[in-house]
Amino acid sequence: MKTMPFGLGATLFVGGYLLVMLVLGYVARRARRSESLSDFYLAGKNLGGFVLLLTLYATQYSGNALLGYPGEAYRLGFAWVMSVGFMMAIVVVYLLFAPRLHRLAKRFDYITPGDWIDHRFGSPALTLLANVLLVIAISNYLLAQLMAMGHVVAGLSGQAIPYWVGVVLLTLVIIVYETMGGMRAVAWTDCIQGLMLLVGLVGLLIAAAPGPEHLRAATAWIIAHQPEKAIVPSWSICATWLSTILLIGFSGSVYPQAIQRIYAARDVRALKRSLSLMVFMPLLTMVVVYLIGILAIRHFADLRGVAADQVMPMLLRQWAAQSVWMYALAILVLTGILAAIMSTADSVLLSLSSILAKDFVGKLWLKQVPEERLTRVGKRLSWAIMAILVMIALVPRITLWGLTELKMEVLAQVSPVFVLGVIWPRLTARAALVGMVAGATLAVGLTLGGYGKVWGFHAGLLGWALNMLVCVVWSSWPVTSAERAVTPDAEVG
Amino acid sequence: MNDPNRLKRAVPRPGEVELVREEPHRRRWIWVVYLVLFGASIPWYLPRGEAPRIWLGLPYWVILSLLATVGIALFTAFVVRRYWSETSPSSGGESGDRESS
Repeated sequence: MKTMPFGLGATLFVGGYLLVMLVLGYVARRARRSESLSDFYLAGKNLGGFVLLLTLYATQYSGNALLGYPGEAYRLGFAWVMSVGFMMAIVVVYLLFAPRLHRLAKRFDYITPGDWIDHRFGSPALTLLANVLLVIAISNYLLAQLMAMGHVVAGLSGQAIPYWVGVVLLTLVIIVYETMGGMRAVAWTDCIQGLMLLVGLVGLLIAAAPGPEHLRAATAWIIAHQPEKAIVPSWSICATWLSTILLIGFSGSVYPQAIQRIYAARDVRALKRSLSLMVFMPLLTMVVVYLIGILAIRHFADLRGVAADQVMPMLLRQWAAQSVWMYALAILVLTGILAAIMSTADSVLLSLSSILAKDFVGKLWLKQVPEERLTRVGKRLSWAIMAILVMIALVPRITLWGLTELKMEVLAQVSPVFVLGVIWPRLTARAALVGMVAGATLAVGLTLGGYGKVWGFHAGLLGWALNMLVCVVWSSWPVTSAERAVTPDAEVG
Repeated sequence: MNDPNRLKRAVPRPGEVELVREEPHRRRWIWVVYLVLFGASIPWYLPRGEAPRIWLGLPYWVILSLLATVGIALFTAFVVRRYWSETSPSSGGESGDRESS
């Protein structure tokens, strides 16, 4: 048997954390007010500012952010500081549509993102296409979280606990507390997980201790040995930087789990408070993660491809071996990372289950059935989704950041129906549908054709630009105005 | 499309129209400021080809980028506080009941 670098202490600490998650799931189940879809999927639309902030934070910062991003900083170098800006861009895009969407969600009892699309456009075809794209994108995202769980457990146990055991065990914990307590359980566990993530990041800062001289020495080494990672980025990288800000800003803000948190906010004040603090989170979270990746360039000079995603676990193992104090700190960080991954996975799973249960099963097969029955269907679907994704996760083939990029290419094509749909009353259902088809076709076509980036711009952003152009031109076209006169319900908004 | 009341329900009511004016997306200058700040966070305007100077342990252009992102965060907090109205629509009905905190 291989030795476990973190030993019994880490096993007990992580075990205790997992137990607390299960207990919270049970308590959330006891706190439920009904078996309605709103109570299960949106916690009765009663989330206050503090819980909303931590659930948004824990959901948005995921395994990609804590494992994929240090690896990306390691591969790209200092230009990965772009991650701070693109995480802020998500909150900035919220300012375009969240104020009105929140108000409408309260009045018209939206549960899923599809409820808004259906209400605004009245087009089953548009709602169906948007839902298909959302399901593809967030299934991809959930898969990335499951893979991250396996990597963390395997990396931190020195491969003594195999990758597949990590994936299966943590998936079971998530699915149990999620089906017990729904959004209430997810939000409460997110609070614990968000706080643990924050404490873990502070621990990382202390462990890495990049004082000015320490950091200066690392930077000077990179300039001398790998100057391409330290010089002012080329035009091509600047184009990718801009492309990433736009792509993640517009796609990250329409994650179904984020949209549902806008619905679930208790009131406008709670939503405002949480978003005005959320915008500062990249300065704490992404800067620390970025510095870890930068320091690793000197520390581990020859990692390639998927191996770079192991930067964080490798550093933690080294710190744990230095002293008792660093050992305790490393365990704290490790649990914070697990918390970040699990908090994203549970939220994505809940959204996926709600879309499949309400917008697919509820509209196509089980029409007019009581909400209690749809809620039960949603819980069973959660188990089925996880079973399928776990099987796929057991064969990892591309890097974690690669998974994120594929997800964003698809997700971005749904953003016009939220952003333009909310702020521009003239957007028609047909324009939105044609734009979404055109954008998705271009984005997927370019990606599958091997053109993931064109002149530094992501295929998903080019698809999004075409999508927006079609939406605006088609909705403004005189013929379309005549169509609107014939079918007035197409211009709801 | 099958629900005849859908159009009637979704048309903004008088109180709502006023409220929409108090949402950040209505003020163009806010988005011009964002354009400048995000533009400043990308080092497209700096000279290339030399070994960068080091400020506070990092290449100088990284510090400039981080300062721009601090500006984005502060500006966003200001916009949320100042230009996102908390007022509920004035008319009653089901929404008025649900929107109360």
